[in-house]
Amino acid sequence: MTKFFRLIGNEWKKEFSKRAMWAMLILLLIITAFWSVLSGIDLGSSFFVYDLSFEESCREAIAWSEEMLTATGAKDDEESLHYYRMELEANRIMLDAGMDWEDWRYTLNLAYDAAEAKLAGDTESYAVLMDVIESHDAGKYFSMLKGNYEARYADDPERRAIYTETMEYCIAQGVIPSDSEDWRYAQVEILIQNRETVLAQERLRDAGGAWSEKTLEAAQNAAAVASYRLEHDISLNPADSFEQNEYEMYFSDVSVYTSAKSSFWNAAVGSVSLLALVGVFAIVLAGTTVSSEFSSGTVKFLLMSPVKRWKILFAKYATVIFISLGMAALVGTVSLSVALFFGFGEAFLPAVYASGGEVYTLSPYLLLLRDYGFEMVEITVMLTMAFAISTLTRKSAMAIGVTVFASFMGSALSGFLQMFGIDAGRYLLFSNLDLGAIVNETALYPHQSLLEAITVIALHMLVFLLVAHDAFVRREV
Amino acid sequence: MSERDVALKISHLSKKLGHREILHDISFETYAGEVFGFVGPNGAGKTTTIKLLTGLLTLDEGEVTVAGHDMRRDFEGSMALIGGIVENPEFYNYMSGLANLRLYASMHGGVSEARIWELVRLVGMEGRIRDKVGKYSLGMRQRLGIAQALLHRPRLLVLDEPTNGLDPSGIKSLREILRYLAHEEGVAVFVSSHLMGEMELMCDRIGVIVNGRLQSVQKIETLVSVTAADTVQYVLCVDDAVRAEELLRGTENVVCKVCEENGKIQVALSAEETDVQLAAVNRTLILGGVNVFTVTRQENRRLEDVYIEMTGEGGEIHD
Repeated sequence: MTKFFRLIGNEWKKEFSKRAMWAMLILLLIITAFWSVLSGIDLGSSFFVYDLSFEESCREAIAWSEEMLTATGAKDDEESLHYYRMELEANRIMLDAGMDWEDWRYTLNLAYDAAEAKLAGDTESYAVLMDVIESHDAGKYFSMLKGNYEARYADDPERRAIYTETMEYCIAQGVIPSDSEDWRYAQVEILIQNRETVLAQERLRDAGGAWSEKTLEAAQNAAAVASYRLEHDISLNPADSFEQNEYEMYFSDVSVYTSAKSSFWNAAVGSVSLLALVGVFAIVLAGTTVSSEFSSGTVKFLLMSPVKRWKILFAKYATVIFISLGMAALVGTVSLSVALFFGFGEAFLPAVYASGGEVYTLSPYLLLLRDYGFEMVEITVMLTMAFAISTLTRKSAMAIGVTVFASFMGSALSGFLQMFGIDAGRYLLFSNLDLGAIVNETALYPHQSLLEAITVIALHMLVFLLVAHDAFVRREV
Repeated sequence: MSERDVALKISHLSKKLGHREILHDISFETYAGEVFGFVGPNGAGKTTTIKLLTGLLTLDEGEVTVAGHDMRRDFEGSMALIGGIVENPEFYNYMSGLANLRLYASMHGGVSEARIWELVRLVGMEGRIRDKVGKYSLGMRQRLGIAQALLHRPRLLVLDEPTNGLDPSGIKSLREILRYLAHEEGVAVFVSSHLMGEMELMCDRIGVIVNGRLQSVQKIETLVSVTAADTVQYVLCVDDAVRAEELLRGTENVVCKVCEENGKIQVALSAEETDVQLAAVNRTLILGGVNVFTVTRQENRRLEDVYIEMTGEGGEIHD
């Protein structure tokens, strides 16, 4: 056993004596640091530059509308005239109320609503809206909404309750109806939307319509998380950072409320995609470690020592895996360290999740570790493939090229098979590598299970290792 | 000779690469304390034999035993007793000579830092040992290779064309190192080479391989007879060699010895008075009752001559 560790130590020394190794590590370090900085910075509003002040903009719009109204007069159709009048009225209201770009009264288009009510002769609504605008009181805004919804759902008490409860909460807690000023606003909207979905799904179910248990459950859980956060005053949920991708991908047709995300966890989660780079380096290492010994002739040096060949081979394999894990650890450490600059306090937040409507909290580090783990499984499979090919061909470029080509073609192939409805494609290696997708049930083929994926992966690994072993042990030098 | 420790025993070794038989039924032994030379034309199977000994090729037929360790059954045990250079010495060019030696030392285990430096000094590499191997000349690599091969104090040292790339003084010091290792430290040295002059000076015994078959294994003295410039050798075929030698022992200016071949004696005579002395030798033998059948003048035989005789052609490729 000590001999084996010595072998690994030797491989380690050799790899780290190579300039290419250090170049890879330094490159990885720099890219990780940059990437983490980019994922951590919120590029949203800070880059938006207004070239006019709000007041100037209003005056300009007023002047323009007046000009249009006088110049064109009766020549235009009623629709256009209505539009000019709306612009004129709304801009006057905004100017009088002293609104600004970031003002919630502006972002919620209250002035336009008021203008419309006025033009429509709805004096009652106009008065209420003007009261909200002039008082600049969020409580009044929510009271207005509450009144509106209660009127709209007068004969649907369940649905009415959703709005009554949430609006009363907003009034009592002094919620400001702006995403940028108050994180609770987005949560209230998420809560409302999901409670609506739950209600709709339950009604479909009870009426024997087309309902989906998955949708119902997802909405129940989302509602539970939102109300838990409101109740416990949790402004940031690291879970949002983890769900970013899937959410955007699979619910892109649904209006997504932009709840504030943790910069720290965004940067941390962003680093998971950097592991692809670790994968490339791992394939390069695995593809070179054996073949370079052959091309330089130093393989004689190894084979003439009193060590069985399979031990030499295994030491090389283990070293490549250790170095890949080390690189992943480097990426993790660097990105977390960089992320600390963006939100030191956020590093200790728990992730809030719900399952079956019950809320639970989880350490986001576990989630991060899981995501890293899934990536490492994929990387290990690919590097094993490169390793096997390099023992067969003795050519590094061949091993690296074939592996990269196979990974592209393989995933394309499993995509094609799925497209043409050939279910056997699910047993392809490349249909089973994205364990994260399989766990989230967003994998290519329906009902792919983790167990099945692990079996397919294990079988392929076994074949790769047997091929590598056989080729190396029997090779005549 | 055969009473001494057998360092390497090869029996009935055959090797096929594809359909071509490279080695055919090779059997011989080498002993501790001798330098064994392995000569033969290109493609005769020298390197194949060496690769089989060093575990680079797999043993298909036949047996190789290193100081009692069967290579097939106890690979690690037998390889621990072998050191060697096959073809060119190869190193990790991006590491220093010292780092390469340390790497090799740790593959074997139990090699102290002092031992590493001892060998660095033995091959005279102290000045350049910390340089990257990529900057070494072939001769320096060759010397580093010898140091590497000796690190773990092998019982059998296998060297394939060790004089390649060495300058004359390098060859001389290599010869001295090898003879020292064999004769003083009891290492069995197994050397293959094309350079017959070199082998003649270096080796105690010579094995000649042609077309994958071992032609002969003989002591260097038997193969080669080199006499000083002022003497001439004659071989006399007699009926009683022992008696003949006794009769001639006292004769002035005549050195006589019994040949290994039955009924032959060899006499060295002074070049100036060859005829007179030969007549005197003949008379002494006949008067002493020994019948002389033939008298042949013997030319100086160098290893090169023997080699060409055995291989048929002057080192041309046999295939």
